[in-house]
Amino acid sequence: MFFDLLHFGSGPQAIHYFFFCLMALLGTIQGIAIRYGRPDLLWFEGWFGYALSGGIIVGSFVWFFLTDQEIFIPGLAGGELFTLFVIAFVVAVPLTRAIAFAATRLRALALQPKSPAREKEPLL
Amino acid sequence: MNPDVWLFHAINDFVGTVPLIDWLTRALVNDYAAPTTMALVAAALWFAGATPEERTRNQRAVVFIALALLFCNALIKDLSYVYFRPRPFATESVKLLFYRPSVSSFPSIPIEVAFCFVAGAWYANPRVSKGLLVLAALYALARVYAGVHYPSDVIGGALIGAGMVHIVVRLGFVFVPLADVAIRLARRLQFA
Repeated sequence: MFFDLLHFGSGPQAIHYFFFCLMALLGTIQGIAIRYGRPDLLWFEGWFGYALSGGIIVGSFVWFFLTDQEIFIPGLAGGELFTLFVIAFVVAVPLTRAIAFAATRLRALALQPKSPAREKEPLL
Repeated sequence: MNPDVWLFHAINDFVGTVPLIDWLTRALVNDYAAPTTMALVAAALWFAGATPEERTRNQRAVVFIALALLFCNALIKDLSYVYFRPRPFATESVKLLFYRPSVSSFPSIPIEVAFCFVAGAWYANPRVSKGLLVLAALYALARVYAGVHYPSDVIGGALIGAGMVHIVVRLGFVFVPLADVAIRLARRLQFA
């Protein structure tokens, strides 16, 4: 019933807005994950993480406002914008967690010490 | 002259004098920039907090914002059946920087949404709320400058938005348990 009330107008603008929200949310969540030390959401720590977060947010805004030609004509209304933002949030959180999990595993593998048994092997 | 109309012209007559201000207004007045920025701040609040108590307080504020938005939309939909105010461009000589919206000029729905975020954030983090207040005030000014609202429309929208959040907070005995259920569910599903 709720979705019957929504009018997404031209499809491309809704798709553009969804990807804009998704990218901006990924950047926002990263910034918060670094600020509050959330390992379950964190991709990269320190200044590189902040730079990545800021870059994703600014990049998503620049991309959306430079590429979308329908910003200044009647298009998506409040209900559609809210729905697309919530869908982007629902996609962004598991995606953030999956990337954070993969990044943690890769860091752990990179830091794993070499097996001492192999170091003692005689060179023949 | 009606003071509301006089103030509208005092602001809108500047259009075309400084191209940079016109460009900045067009960047701010659209339906996407300010509301999406505010929604991103709410998403940041959802995950922010150094202690479990702070996180719960922030997450309750985000739920209150969502509830206030829902109630505001219902109220304005009902209001539109009994009262319709024509837009300034329909009755005045206006320098328009935006498209011609067809819904009632009073109250300003975008400003009502913006002030839901401002007031909701106040209950979690007043510093964040002050930042949002600056953005919301500029957004309101841009809507008048661009010729799509009278000053009283944006003031009305701001009062309705902030007032609705206040009502939701005052009815905490109903909405806090509801918010806590939503937060517990989101945490169980790994969304918080």
